[in-house]
Amino acid sequence: MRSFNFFSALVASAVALCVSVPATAATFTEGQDATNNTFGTAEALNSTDTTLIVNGFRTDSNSADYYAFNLNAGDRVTMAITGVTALFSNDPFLAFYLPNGNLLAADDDSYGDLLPQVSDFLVLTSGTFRIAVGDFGDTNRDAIINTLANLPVAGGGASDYDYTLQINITPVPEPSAMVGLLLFGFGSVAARQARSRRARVQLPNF
Amino acid sequence: MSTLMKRRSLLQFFGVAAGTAFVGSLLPGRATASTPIGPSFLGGSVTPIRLPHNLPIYEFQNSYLPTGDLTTSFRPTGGTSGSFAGNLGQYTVFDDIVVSPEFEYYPILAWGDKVFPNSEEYFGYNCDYTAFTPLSTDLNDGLLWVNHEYVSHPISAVAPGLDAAASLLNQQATFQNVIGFSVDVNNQQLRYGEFQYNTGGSVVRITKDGTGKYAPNANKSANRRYHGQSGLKLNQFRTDSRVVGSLAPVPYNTITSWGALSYQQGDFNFLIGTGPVARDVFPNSTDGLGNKIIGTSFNCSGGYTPWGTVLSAEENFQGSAPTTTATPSALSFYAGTQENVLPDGRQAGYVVGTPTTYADPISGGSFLNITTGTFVGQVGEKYGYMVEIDMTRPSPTIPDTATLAEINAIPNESETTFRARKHTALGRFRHENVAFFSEVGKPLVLYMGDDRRGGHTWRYVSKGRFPARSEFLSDAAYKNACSKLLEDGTLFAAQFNPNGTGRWIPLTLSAQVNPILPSVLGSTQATAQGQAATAISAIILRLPRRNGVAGQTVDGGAFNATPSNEATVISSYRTKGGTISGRVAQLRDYYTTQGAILSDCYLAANLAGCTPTARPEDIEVNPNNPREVFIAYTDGGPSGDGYPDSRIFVVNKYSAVTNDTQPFGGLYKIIEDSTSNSGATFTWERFLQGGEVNSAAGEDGDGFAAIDNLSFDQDGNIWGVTDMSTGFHNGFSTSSYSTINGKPLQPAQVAGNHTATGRAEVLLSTFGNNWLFYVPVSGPNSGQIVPFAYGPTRCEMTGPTFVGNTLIMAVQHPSEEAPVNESFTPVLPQTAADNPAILSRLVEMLAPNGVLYNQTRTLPRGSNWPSNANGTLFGPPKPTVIAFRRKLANT
Repeated sequence: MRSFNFFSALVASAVALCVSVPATAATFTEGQDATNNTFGTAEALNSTDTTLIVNGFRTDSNSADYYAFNLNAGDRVTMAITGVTALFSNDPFLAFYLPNGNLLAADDDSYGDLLPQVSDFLVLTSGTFRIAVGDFGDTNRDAIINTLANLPVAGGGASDYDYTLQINITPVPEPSAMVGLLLFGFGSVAARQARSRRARVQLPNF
Repeated sequence: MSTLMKRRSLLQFFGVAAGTAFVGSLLPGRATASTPIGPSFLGGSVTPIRLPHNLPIYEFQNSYLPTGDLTTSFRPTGGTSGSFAGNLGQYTVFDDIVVSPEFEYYPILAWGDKVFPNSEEYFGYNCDYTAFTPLSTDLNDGLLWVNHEYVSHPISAVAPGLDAAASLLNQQATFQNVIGFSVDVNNQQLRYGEFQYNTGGSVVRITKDGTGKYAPNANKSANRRYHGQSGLKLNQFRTDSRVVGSLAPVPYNTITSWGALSYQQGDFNFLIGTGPVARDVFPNSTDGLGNKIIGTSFNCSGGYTPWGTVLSAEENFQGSAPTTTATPSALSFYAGTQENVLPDGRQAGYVVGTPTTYADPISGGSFLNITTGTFVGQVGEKYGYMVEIDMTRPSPTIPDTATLAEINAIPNESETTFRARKHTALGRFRHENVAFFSEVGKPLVLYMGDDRRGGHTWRYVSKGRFPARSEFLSDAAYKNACSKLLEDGTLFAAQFNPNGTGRWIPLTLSAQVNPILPSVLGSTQATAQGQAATAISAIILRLPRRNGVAGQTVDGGAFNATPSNEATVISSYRTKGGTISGRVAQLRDYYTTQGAILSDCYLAANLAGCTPTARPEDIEVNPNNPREVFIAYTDGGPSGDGYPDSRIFVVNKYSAVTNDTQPFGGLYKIIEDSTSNSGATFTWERFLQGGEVNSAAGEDGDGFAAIDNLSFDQDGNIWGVTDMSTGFHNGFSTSSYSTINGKPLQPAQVAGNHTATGRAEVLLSTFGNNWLFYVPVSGPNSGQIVPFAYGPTRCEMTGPTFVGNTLIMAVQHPSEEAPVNESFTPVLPQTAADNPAILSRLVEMLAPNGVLYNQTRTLPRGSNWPSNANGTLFGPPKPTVIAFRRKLANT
């Protein structure tokens, strides 16, 4: 059993990053004995809030922290790492996976201070996406970052450190605002029912 | 806006308070492009020179008006200090460096100077960026780096890009006079090779003489050239051939020299590539040379790294076939390589024109209608980079007899050697400039600009962290470690939002296709002109052309999205012609590797949604506050090359109203949100707007046009130069000459007046020659634009470097595309009207109150500088590196 704590809280003064920090956000805390090291064992971020904050912890050698959360087609999502202990010495990266397990995007340093960010990313598929937190020393880091190879974050890298993963989701626009999507080739997205509240994670078996 | 407000705001913009100048060197590690060293340059009062147009400083400060009689000398014979406020009804421009009367100038190095160990080698053409590495603590001895950007008339009547070839044919060309032989002969290999030899850069040791002036220390072993043909001997290892139409292929391994002289034989002084393009693309280049590169060319501006090396920017590397007709009346810019690339980052074929041959207009010979790159086999993907040179460590020497295996075994760096290298992680585009932010233990940050219409503003953040010098046993080891930071990192381009915010978009395989719609880019112009965006043909967004996308059938090169086609085109790009589903297409769908993306930065950045900007000519990090980055955008006008975002830049004069805002660039500032300058977001401000001073208009001009190089001196004063196109100087064109009233070779007057709309370049005539100014941060003139000097006829002043009491600068292309002045024997008494080399016209000017007036402008047609200043009144004009210093009597 994963040692996860969940609570919703007012975080008006939460980490100032990403697109924006709304008044309410779901905050999770990963325990040091978490076993979310693979795509299949991703930790579910069960919340319908549009901001998800994870206080994570990397453990040495085998740690690759996967998190699962739901997105709707047409959502925009920004994910970034902050709160890293020993900034500039510890060097995480992010890998973002489609519901089918294919690598969708990866980033190493775009947030600054050697921290990663996948910014303002438009998704066209509804379902459970995974974000993995890896370290510079990860076995597959170079292939993922340099070539976007369809590989898992495998583990390895620097010693223990804390981090904060923040996920900001801008929900798919209401139908009245879908003209632009229709105009520029996203008819299938626009045709879907826009939802202002997101569904809870239903993890499939892998 | 009142003058006082403007002064306060200007200093505020630069992050200093009036009257609180800091004296001393910049903060450690916060290098500008040419970090000043040593004691103060200015060291006392300065009387501004009086320019033809109005500036606020003339209203309350005496200025210096140069005087003379062009019928007796094209140089000024004196000058008057006094109050020259208000409109000047007449103004004479001289063919000289005209500088504040407290200062003097002297030449250091001129084109053709033979200051190298090989006595046949010479200093190249069109000097630009300069940098100085001291070899003594008193700064009296050091190594000078000088870029050589390109060649232009009057080096030859058939110089690349000469748009008046027919009328200037057989007119004075300077090459034979200065260098000693002719390139205007029936020998294309000689002409192309020699022109390319004249580009690149030079290292020359300079030492102060008994009069305290720097002079070249000739024949020192450190003196050397890097040029467009460096490493040509590598061609002997190739197996590919030059193919031009149906002509018999010519194996490139037969092209290893371009003449009979010693330096024309080709050598192994090649360059190497580092980073993603070298890793992913060069191994597949058709030249078969892998990571080895023949030559560096088109070196415009650059930067002096915090570790003491030079970054030299390869700018206009894109070449065109010389002509589209068999007998050209104009020659395109044929010095260059192929810019367009395939999805894998390699060039989209060598540039070959139609027809495949043409008659050389000066020798009559049959010339191949190809670029210099095609001629010798320079593949396009290896040009358009930042080149690092260590002045103190030359490339390793390789004997002519070396085999490829022996060459490969020689290390590219050692304690005494450092092979010049192109850092591809910094991207391939029309590199113009670079500025640095470095702090020990943090990533190294570079800012750069792509000098094309619609080019982007770039930032590079290294993967590695900047080291302390104390971590290394030797300077060489330290420099090598710092240089490695330029091999692995993230390249970003700026996205400016109209609300003053912005973000840095990383140019990676993950980046989504998210271009700014052309109709959005052009929305401000459309509104200002009361037109639909679809009615403005200039609005384009250039995207990478791909087979199956937007109806295209081939890969490589560019496709123009417009407001008229965007509804279907952008949709097609987002799905890559319908082949991508379930996700938005990404750069990985348009490029095979990260290296391929970095080989095609301009188009890839447009595809990812980065903001097309207004030709970022220079970038500097504020020495007082390194979170602030100053950017000189030189020209808002669009062209077929690209369209700057009209929400951010003034891209046209939108109306015929005579005092409407002029689109002559501006001074902007990016303020990073993060303290390490590596964060994802920023804010931005526009402060100065190019154009005539015009306080009657809503967005008044600030009295300059086409701002270019920026620099800070030792006191924190801000220096700038203008780079107005020589084809519009003083209202005379360089594209058309004819006999008028019996006087030969008279340039056409640039037609138009202040009702002009569009790019309105006719209004550049008001500003005279290109000039140099500074903005004091203390004293009675604080916050004002103070004109310090102007340059000779049809020149550009570039590359300011402050070395103690000396300001080193390069004077580029005097007499560009203008006949060289010749001795004239008049029927006495001579009048200006008799002499074909004296031009005069009425120039319409705008007064600060918005009222128009006319000024009689008189000027020399061409230039003889610096020969005229050295006693040869009608000698050849020569691009020359000069030094300014305060006159000794006044110190």
